[in-house]
Amino acid sequence: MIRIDIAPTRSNLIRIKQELQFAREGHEILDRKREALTAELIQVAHEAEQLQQKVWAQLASAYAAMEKAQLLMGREGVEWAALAANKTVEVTTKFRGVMGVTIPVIEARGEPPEMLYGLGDVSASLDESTTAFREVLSQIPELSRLVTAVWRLARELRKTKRRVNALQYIFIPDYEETVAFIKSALEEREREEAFRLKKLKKRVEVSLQAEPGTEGEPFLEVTGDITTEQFG
Amino acid sequence: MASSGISGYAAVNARVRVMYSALLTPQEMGRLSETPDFNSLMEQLKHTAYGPYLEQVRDRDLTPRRAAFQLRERLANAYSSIIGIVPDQTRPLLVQLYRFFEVSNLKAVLRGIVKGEHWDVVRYLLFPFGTRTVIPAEEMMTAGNIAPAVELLRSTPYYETLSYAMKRYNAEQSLFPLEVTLDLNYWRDLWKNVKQLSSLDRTQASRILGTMLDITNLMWAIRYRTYYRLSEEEVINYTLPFGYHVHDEDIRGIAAGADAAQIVQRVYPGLTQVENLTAKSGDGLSQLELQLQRRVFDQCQAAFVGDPFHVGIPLAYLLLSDLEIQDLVVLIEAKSSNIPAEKFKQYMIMKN
Repeated sequence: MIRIDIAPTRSNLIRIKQELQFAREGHEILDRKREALTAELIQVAHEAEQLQQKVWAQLASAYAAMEKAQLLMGREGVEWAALAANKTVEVTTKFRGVMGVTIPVIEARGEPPEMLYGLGDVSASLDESTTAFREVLSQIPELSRLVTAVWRLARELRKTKRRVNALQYIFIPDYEETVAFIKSALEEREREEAFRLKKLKKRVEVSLQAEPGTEGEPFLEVTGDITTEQFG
Repeated sequence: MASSGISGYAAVNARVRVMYSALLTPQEMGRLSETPDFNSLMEQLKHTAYGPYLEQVRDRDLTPRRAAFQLRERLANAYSSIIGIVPDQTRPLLVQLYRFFEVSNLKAVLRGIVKGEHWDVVRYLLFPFGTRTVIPAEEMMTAGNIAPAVELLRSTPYYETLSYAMKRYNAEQSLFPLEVTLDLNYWRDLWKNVKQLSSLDRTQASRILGTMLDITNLMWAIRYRTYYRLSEEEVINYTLPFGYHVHDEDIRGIAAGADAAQIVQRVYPGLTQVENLTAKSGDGLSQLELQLQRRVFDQCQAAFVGDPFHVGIPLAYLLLSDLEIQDLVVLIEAKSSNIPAEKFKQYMIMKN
C-alpha cells in the first residue's frame, strides 16, 4: 500500500480519519448501488435476451418469406409492391433515470395500415412476408429500449465496480496505512518525550542530593512543557 | 372485319401456333435451370425466342431487373400482335385481359404519388405496356396528388371506378380501397366480356379464364382471412360474388370461417395434402397458389387439343407466355442470388 505523503500531526490524523470514514461510507453506498445495478441488469438482460431471440426468429422467417416472394415476383415485383408501404410507425423517445442511469423509454405510435395493397397481382408469399415484418415491427421499439438499457446499465455497473474496487483496494487501504503511520509516529514521539521527562527527573534528583543545603527547596521550578532543547 | 369461327380464327390459329411452338419446352426449361449462374442463364436465353429482346441490351447493363423487363417486352408484343388479328367480337376480351398489366401500372403510379417517389423510380417498375396504354403515367405523377391524378383518367375506363372509391380514400387516406376496386372491376369486366362471347368462344374462354377467376377469388378469400384476419363482411366485400366452379357460397363460407381446405378439396379434387396447403404457417399458401397456377397451365395446354377455331387458342398462348415468364423470373432471381436448384425448382410452374 502507498502511504499518503503527509506530516504526522494530530490535525492531519483527524483529517485523514474523517476522509477514511467518508471513503468507507462511499464504498458502502457504491457497493449497494453495484448490487442493485447487478440485479437490475440481470433482469433487463434476461428480458432483452428473450425478446431478441423471439425477434430474430421472426426476422428469420420474415426474410425467408421475402426471399420466396422475390423468387416468385422478381425483385422489381417486390419493389413495385413496396411502393404501397408509405406509412410506418412513429417513434418517440423519452428518458427515465434508474440509479443515476439514463434509460430510454421508446414509444411507438401508429402502425402501417393492415392492408397495404390490393391482393390482385401479388403472390401469397408477399403476404406471408409483410405479415411477419409487421409482427416484428411492433417488437422493435421494445427491443431497442431493452438493449439500450442493458448497455447503459452494464456501462454504469462497470464504472461503479471500478469505483468500489478503487475505494476498497486503493483509497481505504491507503488511508488506513496513513492513519496507522501517523498514529505510530505520534506514539513514537510520545514515548520519546516520556523517556526525556524520565531522564530529566533523574538529573534533578541527582543534583539535589549533591547540594544538601538546599534540601527542602526546589532546585528549579519548571513550568509548562519541558523539551529536550531546554536541557541541551 | 374479321368474323369468328373457322374463317375468323384460321389466320389467328396459324399465327398463334407458330408463336406457341416458340414457347420453351420442359427440356429447355430444364437446361436453363441447370445453368451455373445468371450470366450463363442469359447466354442460354439468347438462343431462345427471348434472344432478340435480350440482345437489345448491352451485356453489362443486363441486370436481373432489366432482364425481367426485356422478357416482359416480348409478352407485351405478343399481346399487341394477337389483339390486332383476333376477330372483332373477341378483341374486347383480349384487350381486357391485357389490362391486367395496365391496372398494375396504374397502382404503381398511385403508390408512387402517395409515397412522393420520383418518376424515374416508378417508370422502371411499370410493365412495358407500349402505346396501347390509356394511363398518362408521367402526367399523373407530376400532378403530385391522388385527386388531380384521378382527374387525368377522365377519358379512360378507370375513371368511374376510381371516382367511386375516392370517397373512401379521402376518409381513410389509404390506397387499399382504390386498389381493391380496380382489381374487382378488372375481373368483373373480364367476366362480362366472357359472357358476351358466343358458343365455342364462350365455352373455351369460360374454361380458361373461369379457372383463373376461381383461383384468384379463392386465394383472395383465404389470404384475407389467414393473413389479414378481415371480418366476414370485409372478405365478402373484397371478393367476387361469382365464378366458374367457385361460387358465392364458397367464398361466403371461407369468409365465415368454414374450413378452406374442404372447399378447395371440393372444387379441385385432384389436389393432395390440402390441409397443409391452406395452413398459414410454412409454405402452405404459396404452394397452394402454385398448384392452382399449374391447373391454369394445364387448362391452357389442353386448349391446343381439338377444335382450333376459337378464342381459347390465343388466350391460352398469352397465359402460357405469362406463366413461362414467371418461371423465367424465378430462374433469374435464383441464379442471381445463388439459390440452389432444390430450393427454387419447387416454385416453378412448369415441371422439368
